[in-house]
Amino acid sequence: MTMDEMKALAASTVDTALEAGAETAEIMVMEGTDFEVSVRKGGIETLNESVSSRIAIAISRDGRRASVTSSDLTTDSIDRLVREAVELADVMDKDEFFCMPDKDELGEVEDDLCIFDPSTVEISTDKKIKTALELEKTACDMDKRIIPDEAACASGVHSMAFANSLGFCSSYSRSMNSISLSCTAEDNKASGLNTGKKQSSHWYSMATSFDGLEPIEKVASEAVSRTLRKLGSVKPKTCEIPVVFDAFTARDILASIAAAVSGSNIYRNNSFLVGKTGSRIGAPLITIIDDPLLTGKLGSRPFDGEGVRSRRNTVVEKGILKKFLMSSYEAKKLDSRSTGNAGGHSNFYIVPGEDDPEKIIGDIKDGLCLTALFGPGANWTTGDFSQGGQGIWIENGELSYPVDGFTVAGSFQKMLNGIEAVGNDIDWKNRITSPTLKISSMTVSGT
Amino acid sequence: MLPFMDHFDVDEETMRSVIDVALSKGGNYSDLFFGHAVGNRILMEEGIVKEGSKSISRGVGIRVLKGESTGYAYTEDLSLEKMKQAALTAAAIADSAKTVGSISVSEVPFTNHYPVEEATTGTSLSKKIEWIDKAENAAWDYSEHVKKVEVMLIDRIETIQILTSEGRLLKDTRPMMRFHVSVIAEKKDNRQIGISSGGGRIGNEYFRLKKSPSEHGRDAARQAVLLLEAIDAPAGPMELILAPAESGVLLHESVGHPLEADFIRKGTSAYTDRVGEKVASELITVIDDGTVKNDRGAVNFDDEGTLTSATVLIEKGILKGYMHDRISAGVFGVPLTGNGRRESYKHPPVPRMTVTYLSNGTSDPEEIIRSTDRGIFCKSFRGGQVDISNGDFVFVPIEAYLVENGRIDAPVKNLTLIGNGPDVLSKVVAVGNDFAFSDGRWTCGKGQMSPVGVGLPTIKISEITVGGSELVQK
Repeated sequence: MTMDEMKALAASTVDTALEAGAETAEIMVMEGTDFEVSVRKGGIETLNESVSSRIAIAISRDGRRASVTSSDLTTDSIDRLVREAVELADVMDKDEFFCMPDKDELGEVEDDLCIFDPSTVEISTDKKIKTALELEKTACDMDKRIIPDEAACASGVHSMAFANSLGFCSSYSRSMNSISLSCTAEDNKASGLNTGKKQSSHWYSMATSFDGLEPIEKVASEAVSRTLRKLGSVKPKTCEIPVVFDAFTARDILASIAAAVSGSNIYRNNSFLVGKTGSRIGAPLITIIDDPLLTGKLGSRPFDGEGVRSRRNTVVEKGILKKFLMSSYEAKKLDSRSTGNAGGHSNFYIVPGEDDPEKIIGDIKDGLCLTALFGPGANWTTGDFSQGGQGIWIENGELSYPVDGFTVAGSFQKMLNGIEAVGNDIDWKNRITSPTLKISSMTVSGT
Repeated sequence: MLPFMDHFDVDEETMRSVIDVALSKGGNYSDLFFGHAVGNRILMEEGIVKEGSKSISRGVGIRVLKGESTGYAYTEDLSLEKMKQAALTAAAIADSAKTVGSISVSEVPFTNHYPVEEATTGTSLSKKIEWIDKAENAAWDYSEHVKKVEVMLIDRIETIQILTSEGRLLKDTRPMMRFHVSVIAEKKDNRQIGISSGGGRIGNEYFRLKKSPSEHGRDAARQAVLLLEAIDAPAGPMELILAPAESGVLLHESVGHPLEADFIRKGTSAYTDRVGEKVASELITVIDDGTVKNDRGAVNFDDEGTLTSATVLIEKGILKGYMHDRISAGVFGVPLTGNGRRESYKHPPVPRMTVTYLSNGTSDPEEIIRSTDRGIFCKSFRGGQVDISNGDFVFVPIEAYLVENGRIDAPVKNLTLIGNGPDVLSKVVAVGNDFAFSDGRWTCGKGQMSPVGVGLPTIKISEITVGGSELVQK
């Protein structure tokens, strides 16, 4: 479908819904083209290319709401879906907080956010296969210990049109390109029954345009060094110690904060930050921003999931919680105003600080630098934090030896207040991104 | 058995001609996976039935194999023209022109492992809301500390039709239901969340046979209120006792994933080339079985048309084999195990677990607790994760207690347990005689989401790293 056809379908479905008895209607029409090729040992592992489309219909009657989605965009199917939505809404309870966005808030930013690069669709399958093959070969050539696992090159173009019963109707497209590499190597440090112990890691780059990707050499060398530096990992001692989260693992902390400041979790009391607006929740070094207006970034958007114009929001300023990220409904529940965050955060990041990561590590006598976290042990409801980790022990300001098989624990409340340094390193290959962070003390559990 | 509803309207002739196109470039195998899914969800929160939603998907995924290479494309438009176009995209993985003789199609019979008395999909909304109300009331009645209650009833019916280039035609209807209650309890500044969730490939009889809505409501509230009194967990190595059923999460992470044969074929798993070797205590026998009746992880046949069966992975501590899809079974020249699964027609199948469990032992579970001086006892879990290469895995308890001098003591919170697969399984010193399957609440995310089952009797592990925040003075 063309953009105009998608918009026309969204707008006409609003009319269909109103005719069927809906009092309000919000329609989203989505279409996406996705391509991915992965290679291993010089041959193609998987090549996947497809087009898909979807319509999402949300309606209400007297504060009772229902939503339906379908991959079938034929007129008959949509008519049937709309009727089902109206029937479904009638058996729901009335929600006195139900609301549509303020009409004044509807609209889109006028600047081109550069989130769609039309050349994405012109890059040939051959070029993408060659890119993946070259990425794998570059890594294997760097060190003969590398067992290639998977090198991939992917691209996608997703278009979305949105219309509602207040007369809003608009659309945008976004493009995504990525390259990624996973590597493994034998680890001779194996013990006990684990005689087949290996170490693996991966690295990737993601951007709105293919030309914006990091060079193949950089992705390959990062994946290779992240793998090889884990060889010979030992279980560290149980202790309390300063912990550096590299930018890759700091992102995991920020992902939990994103959940903890979302309006949907706040009105459900499902966050350790409920009731904390205006108070100190972290060290003065910490400023967190949600900015959908950044040029060419993966989370940028002209309007949110209900047609509200995008705007930059400062969520935490110098350690003080300023606001939650809310849709119109969540804002009404919380006696506030929409922040343009229906559908969640956009580019959510910690503002970089002054220090090089090397300097942050250089200031630590005995500590831990985390390079990977795993497991579902971050609990934003309570603030509890305990996760499996991998990393490098710091001795006298230097990265000394690799460690694994341990956990790192504390609480978000203490961790945020215990931030002693914020790095100057930030990249934009994710919608959530953080520089390196140093936390004064956490519990490491090992031997 | 639920009747097979034909949502695809494609005849054998059409399917055969799509397979012909798929193999026209020299691929040596192809299959068509038609999927139609209808899902419903009702959400109650803050005392009102707030939102009803419904989701419909339909499409066909076309796969072409050439050696270990996969070409894949799907289309949601089931016209012959679009299907042939997708088949040509998938075919491009191979590069030699080839004419193939048309296949002869025969439908494969199978046993149904998920008979349903009364399908949840299609049940009247008023009846569904009645169950939801019961759960909500039970949660509120449990304690004055209950502050928020959320109840969800989710159901789904998937219709599957597979045709392989070997001429095997399979058609199935897969039901699924899940009931979920989450409760937030508060006491002064302390806020805790409790969860009760269950279901399976079963109908409304679930509430009668397994767990009623009120039991779910009470259980979620009980857990949240219990956690209000929990103390911060200790840090360091300790003895660990796992209660039956849900603790199977440990098995899913510690040996389940690393025995999925895509990791073996690529040589990235710590268990590569170790068949016949000792990888666990002789008390350990691990099985993956997609035929467990009405279980969330059950499938009559996998998503490439292989009938499921019980696959012994570890027998008395010795590694016996891996979980295969068609590609890995071909590489190793071993029989298919029925583990080629996919999230939907949008994805090619990969080796995945179905229902993974540890066989019953002989120890008295009460004696296992009595014999423990100081350790942790875990009953329910948020989930886990594994690093398949070095074998390290974590799992995160929700409901866990300290064990002191042979008795279950105070509840603990904020802990992750971390161990190494072969190491931890060699430290299993007792296996109870109280085997049980977990209630159906687990979804595994290995690139694609997939419903799975787990099961386990009480077991005791002599040492594991307990990742709490409290340093213990030794």
